[in-house]
Amino acid sequence: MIQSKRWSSCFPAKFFPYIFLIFIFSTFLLSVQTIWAQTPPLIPQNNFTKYWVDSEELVAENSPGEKAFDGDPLTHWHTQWLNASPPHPHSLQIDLGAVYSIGGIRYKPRDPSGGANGRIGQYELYVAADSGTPPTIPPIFGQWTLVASGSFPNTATEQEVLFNTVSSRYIWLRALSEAQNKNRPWTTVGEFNVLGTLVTEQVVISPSSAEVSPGGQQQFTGSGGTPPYAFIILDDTSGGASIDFNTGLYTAGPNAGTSTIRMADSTVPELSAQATVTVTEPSSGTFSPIPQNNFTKYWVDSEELVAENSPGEKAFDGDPLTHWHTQWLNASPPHPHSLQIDLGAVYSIGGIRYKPRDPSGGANGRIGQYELYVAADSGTPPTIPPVFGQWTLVASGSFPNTATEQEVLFNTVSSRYIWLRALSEAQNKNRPWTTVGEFNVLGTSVGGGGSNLGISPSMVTLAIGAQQTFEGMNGTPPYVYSLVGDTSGGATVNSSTGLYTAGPIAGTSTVRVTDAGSHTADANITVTAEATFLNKGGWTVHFVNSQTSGNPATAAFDGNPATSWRTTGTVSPPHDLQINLGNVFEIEGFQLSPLTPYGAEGISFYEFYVSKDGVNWGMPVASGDFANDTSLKTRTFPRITGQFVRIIARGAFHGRRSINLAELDVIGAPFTGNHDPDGSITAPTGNLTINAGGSVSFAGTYSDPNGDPPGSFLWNFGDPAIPDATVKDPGQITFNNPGTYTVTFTVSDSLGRQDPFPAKVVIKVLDGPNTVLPRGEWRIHYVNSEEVIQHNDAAVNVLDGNSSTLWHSQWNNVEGPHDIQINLGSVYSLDALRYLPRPSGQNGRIKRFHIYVSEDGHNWGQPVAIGDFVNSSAEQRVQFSPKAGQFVRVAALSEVNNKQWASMAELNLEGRCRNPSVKIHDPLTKDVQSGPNLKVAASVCLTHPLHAGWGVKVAIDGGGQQQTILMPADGIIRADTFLWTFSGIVGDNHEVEAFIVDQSGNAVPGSTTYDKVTHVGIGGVYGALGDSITVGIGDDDPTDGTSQDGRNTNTETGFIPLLNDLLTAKQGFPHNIYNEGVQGETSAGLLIRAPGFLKKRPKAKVFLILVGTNDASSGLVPSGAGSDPPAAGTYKDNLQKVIDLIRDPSMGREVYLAKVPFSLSPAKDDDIQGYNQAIEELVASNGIPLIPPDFYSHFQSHQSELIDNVSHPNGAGFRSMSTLWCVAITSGVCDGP
Amino acid sequence: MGPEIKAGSRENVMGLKFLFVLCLTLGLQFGGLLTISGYGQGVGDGLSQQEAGQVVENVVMPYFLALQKGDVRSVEQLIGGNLSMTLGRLLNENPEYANFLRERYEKMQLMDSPSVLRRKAMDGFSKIDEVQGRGNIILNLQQSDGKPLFLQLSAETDGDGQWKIVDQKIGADQ
Repeated sequence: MIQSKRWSSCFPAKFFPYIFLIFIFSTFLLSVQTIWAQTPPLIPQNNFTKYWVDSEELVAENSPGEKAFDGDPLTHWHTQWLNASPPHPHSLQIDLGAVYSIGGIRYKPRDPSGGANGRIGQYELYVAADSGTPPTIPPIFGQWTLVASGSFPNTATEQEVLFNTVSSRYIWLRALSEAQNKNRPWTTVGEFNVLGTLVTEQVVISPSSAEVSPGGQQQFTGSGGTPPYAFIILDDTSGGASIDFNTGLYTAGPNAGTSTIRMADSTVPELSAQATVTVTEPSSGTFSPIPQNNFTKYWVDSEELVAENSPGEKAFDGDPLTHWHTQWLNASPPHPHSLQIDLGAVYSIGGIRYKPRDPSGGANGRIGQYELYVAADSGTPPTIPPVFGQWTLVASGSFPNTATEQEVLFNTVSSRYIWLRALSEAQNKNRPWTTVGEFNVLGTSVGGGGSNLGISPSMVTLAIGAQQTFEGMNGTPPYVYSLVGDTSGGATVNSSTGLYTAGPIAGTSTVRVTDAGSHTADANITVTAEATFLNKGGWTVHFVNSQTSGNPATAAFDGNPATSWRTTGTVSPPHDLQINLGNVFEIEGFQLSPLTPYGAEGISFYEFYVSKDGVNWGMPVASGDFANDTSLKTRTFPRITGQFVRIIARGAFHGRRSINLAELDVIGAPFTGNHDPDGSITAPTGNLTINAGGSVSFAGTYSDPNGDPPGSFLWNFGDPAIPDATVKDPGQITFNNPGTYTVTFTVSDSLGRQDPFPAKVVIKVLDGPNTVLPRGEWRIHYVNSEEVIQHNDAAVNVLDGNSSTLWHSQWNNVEGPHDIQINLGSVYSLDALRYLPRPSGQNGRIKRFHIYVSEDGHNWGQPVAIGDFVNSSAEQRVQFSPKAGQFVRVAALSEVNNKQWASMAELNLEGRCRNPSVKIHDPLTKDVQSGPNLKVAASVCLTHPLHAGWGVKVAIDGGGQQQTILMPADGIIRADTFLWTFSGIVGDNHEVEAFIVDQSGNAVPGSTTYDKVTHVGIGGVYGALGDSITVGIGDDDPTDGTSQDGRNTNTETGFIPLLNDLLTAKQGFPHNIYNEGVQGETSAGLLIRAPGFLKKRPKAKVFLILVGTNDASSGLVPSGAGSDPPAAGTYKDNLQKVIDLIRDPSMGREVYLAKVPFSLSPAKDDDIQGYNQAIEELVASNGIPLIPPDFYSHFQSHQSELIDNVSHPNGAGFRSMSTLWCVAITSGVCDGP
Repeated sequence: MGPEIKAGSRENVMGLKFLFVLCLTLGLQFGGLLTISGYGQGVGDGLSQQEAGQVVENVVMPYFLALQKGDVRSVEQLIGGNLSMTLGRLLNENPEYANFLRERYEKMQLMDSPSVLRRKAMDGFSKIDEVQGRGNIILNLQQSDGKPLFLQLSAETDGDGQWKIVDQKIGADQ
C-alpha cells in the first residue's frame, strides 16, 4: 500500500508530458552513448609498468605480471603454481605511465598451445579513482572505481570489454574465477591491452622515480602537454645534483640523498609533473661489521631488567634471540629511546645494520622512525646525558614493520661513539617501547690515534671580522690551535678553544691543529669583504630568451627603476635572463624591484642560479614565489662563488605571458681567494665519430686567473681499457672498443685547486659499417611447421640464397603463430634482420612479427623488434638495438591476409662478432644426456686475426677431463667448430666449464670469457607422447608435481615427475622425461606431430606412447586389429607409422607402448579393447622389448582412481601409472612414491 | 499504518501504467546501454533462429546422415579442423571405412526433431564476428537395442564463414 501511494503521488497522469520528455531524452542519451561507445585506440604498452600483482610464477617458468603487456601473446602472466597455488581472486594492477581517458580493455588468453589453464572466467575491472596519487599497495577498494565486470568465455580468442570512459592512470584487472570451470586456482593472461586516449592536459615525467649511484645519471623524458619541456631540480640532498634544463639528463650529486625533479610544459608552465631520484651509496661491500666484542654500552635511557633481563648490551651480544628492551613492567617511558655505544676505538663508519627482535616473541618495540648520530669529537667522550651539540646526525628515516634485518648506509665519518635514537615504533600502535635484537656498525678501522688527525671545518669562507671555531678530530687530545698564515690583516686563533677571528681586510688564513702526538692538520680560510650590492658597471647580458626593443634586458641592471626588462607577449614563461658580472664574486643574495607603477606582469615563481662559467648552472641557489605587489623582493642564500647569475621566471601573475622586471641587484663581495684554474681541449676541436681501432690526437691548454702554475693534468678517455694520461698533451690515443666515450680533461693549480668544470669531448666509436653476415654455417634450430609433403617448402630454404624457394608452414591443419629459429654457429652482435617475402603469391607473407635474439636458443627474453611487414615481394629490413646472440627467432603472429600460414623466401642478418665470449648452449644446467659420452657445444665469438691462436677450453668436474679447441686458422667459426665429446663419463650429475684461452692456453679474464653449467646428467632421456593423460589433466595432488631432482615439473603434475623419481632411484643415475602430451591427441594427430617431437627432442632415446582415449571418444576410428598390414588410417596403422618414425635406424631410438586406460563410459569400451588388441599385435610384430603397462586392467579394477569418463586419473591414479611404467621399463619392482 | 489508497482509482491506474511504460523504456534503454556499451564484451552473440536452422539443415543433419550411409565424400566435405586430421587417411585411403561407418551408425536413430535441433543450435552456437563462430550441439540417439546414446558435435566456421564439424564425441552419458 505504501508503495502504491508513493508511485501514484510521484507519477500522476498530469505528468505524462514530462514522462514523454524523459523518454525522448533517454533516447537521446542512448544515441550519445552509442557515439561514445566507439572503440578507443590501443594505449601503447611500452609505457606500462606493473604496479602490483598478487601472485606470479617465477620458478617453474618466467611468467611475471609484465608478460601480460610485453606485446608477445606467446608469453603470459601466470599466477604461482609450482611451490604454491594461491586461490582466486587474482589481481594485476598496471600503471599506464600517464593519465588516459580509458574506454575499454582487450584480454587475450594465453597461447592455446600451452593449454587453457588460468583463462579468466569472472572478472572485474577497476581504475584508480584519483590519478594524482598512486594507489595504496596492497589495494584498498575505496581508492578504486569499478568500471566493468562479467565473465569471459572459455576460449583462446581475444576478448574486448568496453565501458564508459573514465580518466585514470592505473587499471586493475581482478580475476575471480577460471573460465574452464574446473575450480583451478590459476590466472593467466597472454596479453592485456587498454583502450583509450591520452589526456593531453596532463604532462607526465618518466620515470616518475629512479635510483642512481652518487654521480650517476638518469635520463628523464616528458609526455603530454606541448613539448619541449623544461627540467629543474626543486630539491636536492645529494650534494649538488644537476639536470639539463632542456634534455632532462640528470646527474646526481656526490652523496646519498634524494632529488626532486620538476618538469614543466614549455608553453603552459603551470602544467608540470614531478619525479624523485634516490641517490644511494654503493653497497656496504667496502664495509664490514665492526667486531662487537669491543663494544660497550655508553648510555641507554631505559632498560627492562625486572620482567626480563634485557639491558642495552643485549643489542650487541651477537645473539639475535636476545634483545634490548626498554622498561615495560613497572613503567613504560615514552619515545624517544636511546642507546649509545662506545666502539672501543675510532672507526671510519659508513653504516649500521638493525635486526629487530626475534619475531617469535612478537613485534613490540620494533623501531619505526630513527636517527643515527656519531660523536663529533672522538677525542673527548661525549657528555652523559647527551648534549646534541656534541653529536653529528649521519642518518635518519623509518624502518618498516618487519623482522628482517635492515641496513642503513651513510657518508663515512670517523668516530668512536654511535647513538641509535628511536623516535617511534614501527607497528604504528602508539606503543612506547623500543627493542633491538642485534645492532651492528659497519666500518673500517682507522688505525692508531694521531695519524688520521683532521680539523673541522677544513675549508671555509668568512666575512671580514667573522668568527669560526675549529676542532681537531681523530687525533690524540689535547689539541693546540695556531695561525700559520694570514693575509687578512690580523686574524687570531685561540690556542685551546680553536676560536678563529678573521682580520679586517679580505685575504686568506691558515689554522693548524697539533695533537699530543705532534701530528698536524690545516684548515684554509678565505676572508672576503662584507657583502654589499655589487656595482653593476661591468655587467652584460649573457643570455636572454625574450626582450622588447623598448624594454631590453639591460634595463634590468641600468640602475634606473623607471625602466624595465619586459618579454614579448608572444612567448610564454619560463623567461630566462643570464648576466655576466664581469668578475668573480662571493654572492649571497639578490634584490628584485618590480616595475612601479605596478602592472600585472610580475614574476610569480622564480629560480635564481649562480655559475662560475655561465655554462654549468647546477641547481638553483634560491627558488620560490614572489608576492603579488610592488615591494622589493630580497632573497639571500649561503655564499657561493661565481661570475654569472641567472634568474628564471617560471610564471607570471594572472597567467600573463610577459614579465616585467625593473631592477635586479646582486648582493655579494669581491672574491679574494684562489681562483679556479681552467683547462680546455684544443684537439680535437669538437666531438668526433670514428671506427673501432681508429686514433684521435688529444691536446689541452691551462689557464689560471691568479697566474698560479699548473699542478696536475688528468685525461680520462671514458673507455676503461684506455689508461688515464697525466700530461697536458697526450697525443694519439687509439679506441678499440665500440661505444660512446666522454673524454674529460681536468687541471689543478699548484695549490691543489681543481677546475670544477673539466673540459669534455665525446668520441663515438663505431663498429664499422653494417655487415650482412655470411650464412654458410647457419642451421635451422627449430621450426614449428614446414610443408615437406605436398611441396618442398622446408625451413632450410630461407638460407639457400635462392629467392624462388620458400619456407612455408604446412598447408593443412596447422594454425599460427608460426616460429622459425636459426642457429648462426657463433655469437654475433646483431642489429638488423632482412626478410625477403615470397616473390609471387601472397599466402604466408608475414604481417605481425616478433624478432628475438638468444645466446643459447632456449632463453629468448623480450623481442628485440616488434612490427608489421608490408604485403610486398620486396626485401624488408628491421633495425633493432644491438644484442649479442647465436640464435635468432622470427615469430610470425599474423599473415597479410589473415590466413593461417607463414612463408619466407630468404632471411639475412646484419651484425658482427665483437668481444671474445663463450656460452655453453648444450647441455644446459639440469640437462640429461644418454651416456657414456658427454657432448658439449658452445657459442663462441673470436675475431680473426685479433684472436689468432686463441681457443676454448672445456673442463668436466673441475678439470677431471678437459679439452681445448682452437679457433680455425682461417678464422671462420663453423657450427661444428666448438663441439666437444668426452667419453667414459659415468652416469651421474656433472659440472661443465668453458674458458676462452689465449695463445698460451691461459684463461682470458672477463665477464664473457667464462661459462659454467651444473647438474648435467648422464643417464636416461625419455620422451612421453600422448594425450591429456600424459599432460597430467585431472591430477588432484599438487604435492608431487616436481621430480626430486627438479628436472621434471608439470603444471598438471601427472605421472612424469613421479616416474622420473622412480627410475632415478631404481637405476641409480639421472633421468629426464620430456612431456610432449597434447590435450585431445589422437593416433592420427600423433602421426602428424611425431616428426616435430622427434626434431624438438633430439636427446630423447626412448619414447613412451599412450594414446587412444580420444580416438575411442570420437567413435570414428577403427582399431585395425587383426589385420596385417593394417588398413590405412586405423589406430593400428597410425601407431605403426609412428613406430617406424621413432625407430629410424640411424637414430638409435626405442619406443614403448602402453595400453589405453579403461573408461567409465561403456560406449567407448569396445573401441578401447580393440585398440589394446592392436597394441599387443604391434608389440609382437615390431619386437618391442617391453610388455606394455596395462592401464586398462589397472583402472578397471581401481575405478576410484579415475575422475571422469575420459579416463583421467586422479593423483592416486597417476601414482599407479608411474609405478606401472617403471615396472615395465625396469622389469623389476618399483617402490611407489 | 500507511494511508489507504483505493486500488481502482483511475489516476492511480494511469500513473502505474505510465510508470510501467517509463520503467520499461528506461530499462530497455539503459539496460541495453549497460549491456552493450558499459559491460558488453562484443563476443558470443548467439545465432538467430534462421542461422541456427541453416546450420542444422546444412551441416548437422547432413553430417549425421552421411555417417549413417557411410557417405565418406559428404563426411569429408562437412568436416574441418582436427577432425579432418583424424579422419583424413581413413576417408581418402581406406576403402573399408564406408562400411565401418555404416555398420556403426546405420541403426542409430536420431531422436531430436528439427525444431529441437534448431533450439539446441541457438543455445549451443555463437558467432564471434561476422564470419567466425563456434559451438557444440548434442544429438540424442537411440541404439538398435533401445538404449540411449549421445553424440556431441563441435562445429566452427572456416575461413570462408562455412560451418564445419571439427570434433565428435560419443557416449552413453552426457
